[in-house]
Parts: sequence; structure tokens; C-alpha cells
Amino acid sequence: MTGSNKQLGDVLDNISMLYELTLNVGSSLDLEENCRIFFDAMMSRCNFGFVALYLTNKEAEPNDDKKERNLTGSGTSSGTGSGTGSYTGSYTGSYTSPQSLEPLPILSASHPGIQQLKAEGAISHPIEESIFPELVEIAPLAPGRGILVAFALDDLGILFWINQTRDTAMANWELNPFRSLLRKFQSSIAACLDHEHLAKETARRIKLQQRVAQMEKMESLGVLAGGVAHDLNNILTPLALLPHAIRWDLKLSEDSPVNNDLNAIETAALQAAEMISDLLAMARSGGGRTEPVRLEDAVTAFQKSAAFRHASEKCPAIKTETHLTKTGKIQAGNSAIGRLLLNLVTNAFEAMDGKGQVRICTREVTLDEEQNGYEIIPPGQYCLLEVGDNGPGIPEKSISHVFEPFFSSKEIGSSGSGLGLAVVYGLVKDFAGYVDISTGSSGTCFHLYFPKQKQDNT
Amino acid sequence: MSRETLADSFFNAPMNIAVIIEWIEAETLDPEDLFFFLIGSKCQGQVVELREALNERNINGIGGVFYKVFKDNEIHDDACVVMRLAGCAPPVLVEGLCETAVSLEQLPASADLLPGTSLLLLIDSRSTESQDFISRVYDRYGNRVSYLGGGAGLTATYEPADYENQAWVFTTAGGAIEKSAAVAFIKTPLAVAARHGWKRKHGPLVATRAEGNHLLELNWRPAFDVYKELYEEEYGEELTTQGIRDFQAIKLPLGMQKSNAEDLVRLPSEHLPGGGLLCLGGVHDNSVLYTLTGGAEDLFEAAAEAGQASGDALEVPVSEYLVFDCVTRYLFLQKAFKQEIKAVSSGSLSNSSDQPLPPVYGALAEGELASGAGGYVEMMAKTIAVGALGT
Repeated sequence: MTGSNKQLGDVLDNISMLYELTLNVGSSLDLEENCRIFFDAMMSRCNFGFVALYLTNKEAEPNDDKKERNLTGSGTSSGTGSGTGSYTGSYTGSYTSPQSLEPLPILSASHPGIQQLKAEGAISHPIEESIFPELVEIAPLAPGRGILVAFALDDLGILFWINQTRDTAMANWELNPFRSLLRKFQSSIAACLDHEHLAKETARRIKLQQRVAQMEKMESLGVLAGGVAHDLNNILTPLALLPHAIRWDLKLSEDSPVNNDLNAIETAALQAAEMISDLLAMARSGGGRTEPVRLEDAVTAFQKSAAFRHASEKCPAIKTETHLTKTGKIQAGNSAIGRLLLNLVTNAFEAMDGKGQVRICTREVTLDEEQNGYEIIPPGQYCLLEVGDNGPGIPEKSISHVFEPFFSSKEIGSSGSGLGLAVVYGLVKDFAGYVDISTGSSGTCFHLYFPKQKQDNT
Repeated sequence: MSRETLADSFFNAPMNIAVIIEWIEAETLDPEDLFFFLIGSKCQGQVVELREALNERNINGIGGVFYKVFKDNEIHDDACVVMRLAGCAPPVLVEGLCETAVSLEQLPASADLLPGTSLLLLIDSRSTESQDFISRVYDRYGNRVSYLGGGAGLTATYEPADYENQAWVFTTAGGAIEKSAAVAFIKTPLAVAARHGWKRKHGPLVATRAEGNHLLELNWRPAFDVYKELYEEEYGEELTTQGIRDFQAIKLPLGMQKSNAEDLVRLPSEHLPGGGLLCLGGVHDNSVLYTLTGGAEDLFEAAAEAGQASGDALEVPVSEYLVFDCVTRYLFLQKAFKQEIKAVSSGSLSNSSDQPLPPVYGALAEGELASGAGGYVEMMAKTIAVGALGT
């Protein structure tokens, strides 16, 4: 083969290689799948021993989130070779081939190698002289020779590869054919990330709609329950009061059969009254007396209450511990907080099948941004009351129903009415609070967020 | 019957299990001993008995059945190659290679392997997802280990009815199960190299539609039509669909372009309905292909280069070679095949010709694997994969 023929052959090989690799870029909108297909082609065709994609760590630089990502990539790549822009955060390993079983080292933007990349856009060194020794160390390489190449993908990240079939660094003219290929790859990665963001946002919105629908349902249930409870309360009043009057009028002895019947009527009426009280609480009727309350004081008072002692005695193998951090004040009713605690603690006891641990905590939290949990909690300062257990957790399908009246996957709630957690929800709403739930195989925790009083500076 | 022992290997023709066991037990067994078997196709029926005999004696073993096995110029289909190697982890049989994402949990973690560990892989050639398996093994170990192995079985040389339900790979602990891979982890010094020697003739051609080992389109036309035209232009004889099945294509394989290495060879082996070609080895969608030609001398030269490269990469003297040579090279070279085997060891002693050449043991494989210099691992075809073993 003559020299010019060989040169022509080399050019043809380069064109063929780039053609094939280019067609393997952007095969999927899934980041992992997109990288897998492209990296597999690179590994196979170019005989690379290791390829890694590092992405800029957007969480480290929240302001970057506000930047509009350019889908076409035209705005993120100058084509001059310089890269990584003005990014000053860190870079996280996102995908490698072979898939690394060990965690990839995080690279800081102040890393000398990245500083050099910023200036040059692409660098190549023999691995023994590499300025990314941490990457060479973690790559599953054969002992001996090889080169490491790093390409800046502008603000998006960095692509590294290690080629062990050569030991001399790649010259600029050898790196150049990869520049346009990697710009295309960069655009595909941007598209994957945008797709991922869009998918997450869509899922968030769907969840939000479901939450709103759930809240509206609870609202409607509250109105219905409140109305029924109010009317029932009026109807039941004679049943609660008349047995005593009848006993007095007829001068009945303690053991007379009629007195026993009256006792039964009276007991049933009191139970009904208790249920009505729960219904009213759930109905967020408001109207109860509120005052500035400190959560830690309310918890301490609850622990001394007869109701708590009674519940604890029924489950002696369940240990209750408290972690009370001093909080600000909230606008609530002391007795209502006690009632809310009793319902949550009783619910936790029931979840644990006779033994385990219940944990009650209070603390203050500041949310800088909206929190999407069970409910959407707006930013602000909150006094947080948490009641957790180490029971089996709540099944995923039940989570959205736990605050609905009469919903139970086990025994019904504390008052025996099946309204335990519905009452909790109603009371929290009464005090302008929010609920969240974390649950898993290691237990469940209810997080109640109450707005901290603004005038409270203590 | 001949019995020879050289270093730690033994060539037994015809295969006789009692003689093999006698050879194994002639030396005190070390708990790390791992016996590696290459079994000729006519002895496939002895696999179960061999496994039982090994298990009765608590001998660790791994093996595969191949069209023919050889030692230097002795090439038999009723012989057995036995190699005593130093294992560094129990051998593993991975089943179900007709599915993707098979579990590799039985394989030791990368961090648990000693530096210098090599993997010997014998893969049932009927496994449709063998490349997925190889990629997953590569994901696990990367280039921290060397890889040597080949496709076991007889698909290229026998009719399917002849081997239905037969198992071609086994491990003593895992059994002999069809469509499986047997994996051994050895610390015996091993350096590998692979060459094929075929040279580009026509091209570039673009695999505009390919799925696994189905090459459906070349240059946007049915692959068979394009290949047929090139074949008939090259050899002036008609290429028929039956001719492809009868290995007419062995003198005009296809090569997938690869930088810093020889092209990756793929051999059309069957005409597919719709005008596609079934190839030995997978073809990547959009890959750039060339037709390849070569003469016997090119192939011998490649064998010598592979022997030389593997021997040079070994840091200790070569005691013997372990070779996986493509069955189609044997069919192509026929009687001259012995020269190819001889060429492997011929380059190993550069100056002192008084010393005997290291023996070359091996098998005719249906797909070859060799990677030790840091490149990507893929199943090759029409290639000679050489492992230089040291003591």
C-alpha cells in the first residue's frame, strides 16, 4: 500500500468510525440506556478499557437550576474546545462502562485536572502521569500502559475514557474528530436530563393533583361529619340526661331491672357522645379555645395523663421514649394536643403487636422551599411534633387512606370509633398545620408541622 | 492409546476416564488444583461419567465438548486434553444463557480476586445471549483479569438433531447443563493474544439493519444480495443459500472495523428468510464492515503472531499453550491446519533452538475469547485465541 493510499485508508477508517459512533448517540431518552449504547459502541469499536460520564452536581449549585438548559446544545458549546464554563461546584460520576461496583470519586471544580480542562477543552495523558489518579485507581484496568482522555462537555459534565491499547497521549489532531461527536453526545445527555426533569415534574404534578383531591375529599367528609354530629348531638341529649331523671322520679333501687336498662341506655349515650366529639374534632369545627402552646410542654403533660398511663399499662412491652427539643409556641389547644398525641400513640401501640418502641420528638424546622410529602408544605418556620414506631410500616396502597374516617388495616382507632387518625388530621388542620408520613419496613413516623407563632421570639 | 505428560497437561487419545483419573492421582492433590478438560465430540457421552468420577474423589473440574481437540499435530475428535491449573476461586456454572441479565451472584466479587487472576470461560455455543453474559462478566471484573475461552459445541459441524439436549460445558459442582457457561478462576500465570490474519477486500459496507447475530441489511439492501454479489465477483462461482450453510463463505468472512486492532471477524453461516444473513458472532447495528480474504500463509502468520504476543506478555517462561482455534479455520485450512498449530509455538524461542518448543494444547471452538491487554471483551470468530501458560 502506498503512503497516500494508507492515508486515504486511515481517513476512511476515521470517517467510518465516527459514522458508526454518531449513529449510536441519542438512542434513548433514558440517560442510562443512552450512555450504555454509546459507551458499548465506543468500547467495542475504539477498544477502550474504561469510559465514565461525570455530570455537574446541580444540587451543589442551586442557582444553576434556574438556568434554562439548551436542548439543542448550541448555546452550551462554543465549538472552540474550551469547556466546563464557569461552573464552580463539583462533578459526580453518573455512568461508567464497565459498570463500576465501587463508588466513583467526586471531583471538585477546583481539581487541577478540571482547571486544565477548562482551559483546553480536552486533555490526554499516559495513565501513569494522569492528573486524575483517583479515576485511574478505581477503573478496573489491566496492569501496565494506557492513556486517559478527558473531554469537557461544557456546563454539563466531563467524559473520561481510558485506552490501554496505546501508551502515547493523543495529539490534538487525533482528539479533534471526537469533538463534534461528543457535542452530539452532550446534546443527547442534555435531552435525557430534560426528559428526566420533565418526567419528575409530571409525576410531581400528578401527585399534587391526587393530594388536592384527597384534601377536598377530607374537607367534604368534615362538612358532612360536622353536620351529622351537630344534629345527632341534639337528638342524643335526652338520652344522656333522662335516665338520671327517671331513676330519681321512680326512686329505683340499684339492683332493679329497670335501673340496669337505664344504665345501658346511659352508657350507650355516653359512647355516642364520645364518637360525636371525635366527629366534631375531625370536622375541623374550630371554635375551641386556643392559646400559645409549647409542644414539649404538651408532651410532658400528656405523659403524666391517666389516658397515657392506661394505654401504656395495656402494652407493658412497648417502650415510649421522648426527645424533646425546646420549640417556639404554636397557637393550639393544650387538651387538643393531648388528644392528638393519645390517638397517635395508641395507633403506634396497635401497629406493633405488643412489643417495640414508640418515639415522641419535638423540634423546630425551617423549610426554605416547598416540601412535597403527604401534603404540600409551604416554606416557613414550624414546630414539629413527631410520633414514630418501629412496627411493620404502612403498605403503600394504604398511605393515602390513613386519615380517612373508619379506615383501618388493623384494629380501629383509639376511641373505638375508627376515627383516631381522622381526628388527628382534623385537629392539625384546625391549628393550620400539615401532616407528613414516613414509613417503611423499619417503622412509621407521623410528622405534624405547626406554624410557629411569629411574635414568639423565645 | 497414547499417554504423555508434559508439565501439567495431559493428552489422552482415545479418551479413557480411568487413565485420566490415574494421571490426576499420580501426583498429590492440592486443594487449589483445578482440572481443565477439553473433550472431543465423540466423547460427549463420557461427560457424565467423568463428572461422577471427579466428584467421587473431590476433584475440582471444568470442561467443555468441542468438535476436535488437539495437542501439537495430533488432532482428534475422540481425545481429551486435561490441564492441571491453580484455581483461586471455585469454578461456577452459569445457567440460562438464552436470557439476558442472568444472575452472576455466584461469581466472586472483583475485590476478592487476587491480582493476576485469569478467567477461563467455556460457553455453550447455542446460547443466544452469550455476548450479554460476556458483557456482564466484563462489567464485573473489567480489565483487572485476563479472559480466555471459547464457544463449546458442535452447531457449526453437526445437524441440530444430532445434539439435541446435550450439555457441552460442565463443572464438577454445578453439573452439565445445556446453554450454560463454565467459568474458572485461575492464578496460574497466563497471557493471552488473538489474531486472525484476514485482510480487507471490499468495503466499507454499512450494517444498516442488524439484530444480534442477524445481519439483515448491508448498505440498505438485503444483506444476502450484497454479500452474494461480492462473493461471486471475488471467486467467480455462484453462492447459493445451501452453499452458505455448507461453509462456502469461510473464504470470504466479514470484518467489523475496530481501531488499534484487527477487524472483528464475523462469518455468514446461513441465509435468513427475507434476505438476511445469520452470522457467527453478533453484528452491531450501523457497524462498518468489510469483506475479508486470506490465504493459508496469512493465517499461519496470525497464529505465529498470537503465540509470540502471548509468550512475550508472559513474565515467566512459557510451559505450554492453550489455544481456542475457530473450527472454520480448520475447515478452511484442512490438512494444513497442523502448520497453524505449529506456528503458535514456533515464535516462542527466538535464539536457542536446542530447547523443545512448548506444547500446544487446544480445541476447535465456535467463537473465541481472548483479552488481556486492556481491550474490550467480545466473542470473536475465525480467529485463533492463544493463552501462554507459565508454571
